[in-house]
Amino acid sequence: MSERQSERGGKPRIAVLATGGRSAETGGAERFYVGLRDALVDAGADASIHWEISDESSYQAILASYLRFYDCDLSQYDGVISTKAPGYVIRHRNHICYLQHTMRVFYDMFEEEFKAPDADLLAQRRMIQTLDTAAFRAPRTRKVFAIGEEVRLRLERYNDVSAEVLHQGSAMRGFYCAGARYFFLPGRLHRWKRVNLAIEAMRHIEDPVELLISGVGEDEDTFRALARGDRRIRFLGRLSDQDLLRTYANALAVLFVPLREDFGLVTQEAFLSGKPVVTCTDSGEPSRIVRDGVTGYVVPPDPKLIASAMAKLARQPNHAKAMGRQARLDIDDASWSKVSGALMAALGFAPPTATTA
Amino acid sequence: MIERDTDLDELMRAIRADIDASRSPEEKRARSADPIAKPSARAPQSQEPDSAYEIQVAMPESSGPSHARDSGKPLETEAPKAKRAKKKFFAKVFDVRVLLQRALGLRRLAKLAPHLEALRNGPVPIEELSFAVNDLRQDIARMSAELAAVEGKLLGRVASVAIRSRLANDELAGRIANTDALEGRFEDRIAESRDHADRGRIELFEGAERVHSTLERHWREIADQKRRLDLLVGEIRRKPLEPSPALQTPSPRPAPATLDWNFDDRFRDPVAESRQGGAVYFDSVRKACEATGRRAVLDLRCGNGDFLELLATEGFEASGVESNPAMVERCRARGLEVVERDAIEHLQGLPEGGLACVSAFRVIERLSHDALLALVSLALRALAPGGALILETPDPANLLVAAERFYYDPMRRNPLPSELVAFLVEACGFVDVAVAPRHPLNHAPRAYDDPMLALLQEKLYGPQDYGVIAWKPL
Repeated sequence: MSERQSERGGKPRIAVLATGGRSAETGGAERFYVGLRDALVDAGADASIHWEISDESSYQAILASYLRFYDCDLSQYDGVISTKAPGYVIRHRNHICYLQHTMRVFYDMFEEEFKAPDADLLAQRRMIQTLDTAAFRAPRTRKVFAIGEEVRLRLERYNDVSAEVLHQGSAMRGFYCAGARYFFLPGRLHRWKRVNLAIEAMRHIEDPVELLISGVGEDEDTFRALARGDRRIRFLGRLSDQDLLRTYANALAVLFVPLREDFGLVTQEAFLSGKPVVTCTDSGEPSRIVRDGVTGYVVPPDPKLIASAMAKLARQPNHAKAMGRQARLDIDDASWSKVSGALMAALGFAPPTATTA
Repeated sequence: MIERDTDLDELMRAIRADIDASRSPEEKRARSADPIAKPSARAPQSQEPDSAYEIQVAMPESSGPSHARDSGKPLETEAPKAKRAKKKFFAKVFDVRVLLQRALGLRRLAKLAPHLEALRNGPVPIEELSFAVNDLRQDIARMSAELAAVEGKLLGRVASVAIRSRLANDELAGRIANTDALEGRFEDRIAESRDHADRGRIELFEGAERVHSTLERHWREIADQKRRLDLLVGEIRRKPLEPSPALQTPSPRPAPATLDWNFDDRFRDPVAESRQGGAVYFDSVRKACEATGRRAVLDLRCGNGDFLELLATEGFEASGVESNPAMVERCRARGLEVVERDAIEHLQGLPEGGLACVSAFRVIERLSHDALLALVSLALRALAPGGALILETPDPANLLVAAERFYYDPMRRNPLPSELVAFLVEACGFVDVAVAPRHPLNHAPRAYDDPMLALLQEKLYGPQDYGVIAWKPL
């Protein structure tokens, strides 16, 4: 390892193992890879993103994907950081995992998706969990990190694996705060994000306040149908980075009510824009980041209760602004350098003191 | 649930074998479709009849308990305690039944045995047989009477259990209603105290806001005082030996820095003018960036950095130069890049042709004629070919501005007509010079027929400022 390093002026070559679906959508996960690579480069590594396709269309395809990652040869790198299922089965002498998520449909979303699972499905779930556990516990995997408390708890509960939490930095720059005009709900339009809760909440609000919803996704039509008839709700579609920043900047508050979210960049982006966040008690990581009544509201997943929190913000815009200021103070900008420092140390490339200095 | 020590390599070997197999013809697939063994659905038989006789007797008897069970059916919703009692009760019934069955079976066997024996040996008198049958009939009659008695007793018990459980049910329903009422009251109280907490929190926030603004005001005052003190100390240091006239007549000349600060805060509406208004120049800035292939924008005397922040937000590489240390501090606190220096000196020190755009808002009216010419020609030198110069200044064509508003700021020297500035800029070597009116007074214009009134409206309530945009030739 040291021989190779010296050939390139001492810079270790690190691969960020990215797992791509068949469709090339740039969501939070893709920005995560870029942010992670840049942070590693800033920390003095020769880092690059290595894309590998993971087909999750059927159980057989999933097993084949596990095998493909298992067979993937990355020996030209000095270190490999896997991030997602099934990347962590990689056979590399110096491998750590910075886990975004496993295949959640076989974990916490199993009951959600399969109301009456048959024996085959249960056996499949068991197989995937056993595979993952074996991979996390393999001696090749030097250490497991998690992107948030939610993921850490899931690892502990389902795989009996302990992990260290590292909060990632923001993937975009240039957040600012301007007006306070409407509620904003960004993100993928998927049933796990529960956009319907926000739309239903609007029915309990009589104030002439708007709800802007950005993003696209497979459940978009359902949500649009649900919002039909309420002129205060607008769908913005996919936004450019500049438009996204501007929409954040002029929001009164940001709504984010997903089910057991792993990390939720939305909370972070809202806080960086100085906006309070309304989230739910079962929304996972956001419910841990938002301080109820201080940097937003954390309410049970009930449209009526969400509506009452929204009404409070709409009627007290100054209160909302003060919460937003507090939120801006809560968020830590320097997270990426902490992440890269910890990962480099775990790969054995730099003493932790040198990177934090 | 999880097998801890399963070896990943072994699992993977299995998967590989499986996938390889599924690629070859269908017969392998059948194996994977094998359903997982299901637990046997057959309930274990409690008792096998031990003789042929017992089966016969059991037949009529089975109607007894099944009848009791039917009458128990409406009780299915009763409380668990009653259910337990019922179960025990039926267990007892079952025991009695088995005992009866046994006794009857044995007795019949004993009675029939000699007759059967006799039958095998030879002919038997009919009377004897009929006696035996009669005996048996009597036995059976007695047994069934006993059974009927037992059954009657059992039915009575079942009825009493049913009544008791119904009573228990009623009581339970009453208690549940009670609990519901209590819960409702409890929820009301929670909502009440939550509202209370919310109000408290809002008051707290408002208090924090007040403290925040007070702190800010104090901080400014302290900064001003410090600046005055610094100036005084500097003056004293400069002439330590001469008998200072300043000491005899203490005339603390107000520092220009302090003046600048206060005037900007008081008379300008930064939100309405600079922050949003500056954005109208973005198209020109963008065009200049494209033409020059550079992104550096320099704002001369950038003040407290509103335009710089806007530029940074849009992604330009914006930096400022400002001679007032109070302003510089403020910009730096906002995270903006600012050099503390005189604008003209700074321009002189810059390399030739390095900038995409130079801007100066409310600057040129403060300069002497010579300084204005120097600033424009130095800006030309610092810009790359295709770069833009943006100057904004009060418009003396507006009579309110020319007569009054211009002089709100005592640092201003010369009201500059737009034609003059456009001419000077062109004379220094810029091309495509354009003048844009800016910031009309907040006044709803009316359509006057009288041209004099229309002119007066324009002259009083028209634009207060104008911007000049000029380009360095390519």
